[in-house]
Amino acid sequence: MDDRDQELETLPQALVSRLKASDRAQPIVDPRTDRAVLDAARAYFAQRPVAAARYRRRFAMPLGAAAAVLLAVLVVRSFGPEPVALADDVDGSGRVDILDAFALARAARDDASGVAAARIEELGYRVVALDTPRRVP
Amino acid sequence: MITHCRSFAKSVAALFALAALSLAAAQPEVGQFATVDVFVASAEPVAAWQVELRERRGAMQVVGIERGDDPTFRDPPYFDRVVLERGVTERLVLASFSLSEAAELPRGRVRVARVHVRTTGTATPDYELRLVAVGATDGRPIDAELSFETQAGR
Repeated sequence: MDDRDQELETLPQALVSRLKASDRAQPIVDPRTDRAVLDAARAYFAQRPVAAARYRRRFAMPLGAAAAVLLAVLVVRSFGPEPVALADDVDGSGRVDILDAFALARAARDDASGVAAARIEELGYRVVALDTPRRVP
Repeated sequence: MITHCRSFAKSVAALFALAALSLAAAQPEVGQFATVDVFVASAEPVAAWQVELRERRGAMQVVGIERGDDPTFRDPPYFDRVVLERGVTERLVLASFSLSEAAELPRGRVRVARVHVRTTGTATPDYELRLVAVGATDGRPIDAELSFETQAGR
């Protein structure tokens, strides 16, 4: 009789019988079951890259186009021409016209802002430009 | 002999007539010159103005631009000089301002610009004038009426 048997004798009989039943109920993994699970897992993961590639192909073009548009907007906003309304709307009317050049001229006359005459001329010619903004002749 | 001379003279005359006709056909059409006077009418003295002149058929050739009656405005008004380089144009933008005091500026109906144009063909020009901006001496936008008068052969 070893120490383990001596310990069991000191325990209540009901508890001893439950412990012995628990030892007998240990699951035994059969090699065939193990193989079946392994095969099923391999089959599942073997199909997965194909499905993922299909999804990638389906969404590649729309996502690429959206990314290109977003990139173009960011580049144009960062490096494009400055909005004319913000730069030349001197009187804050929301549009650029001769009244903005007139406001600059009055400021220069009053010597309030040190506006150069060339700046006034440039704006005057810009508001009458037919196509692209032109230089002062 | 006399018969030969007459035939030769007739041939020479026919050649001259043909040459004259060819020269006349080769001459570019001169067209007619006219002026378009632009008027602005306002109850307050006009210190700044901007208008757009259109010819609806797009057959307006601008050959010159002058300021109006008030000598305190710049001469000529602001305009895109590319219209002078173009054969024809359909629109022209004019603008000017004066730093004179209100008492020195004319009131009422004032001629602010004169546009010299050249027209070709038989169709009558169809002008359209649009007011872009009119301002008082303090830069404040004011109400105004726009009109124009055309005169041929100027």
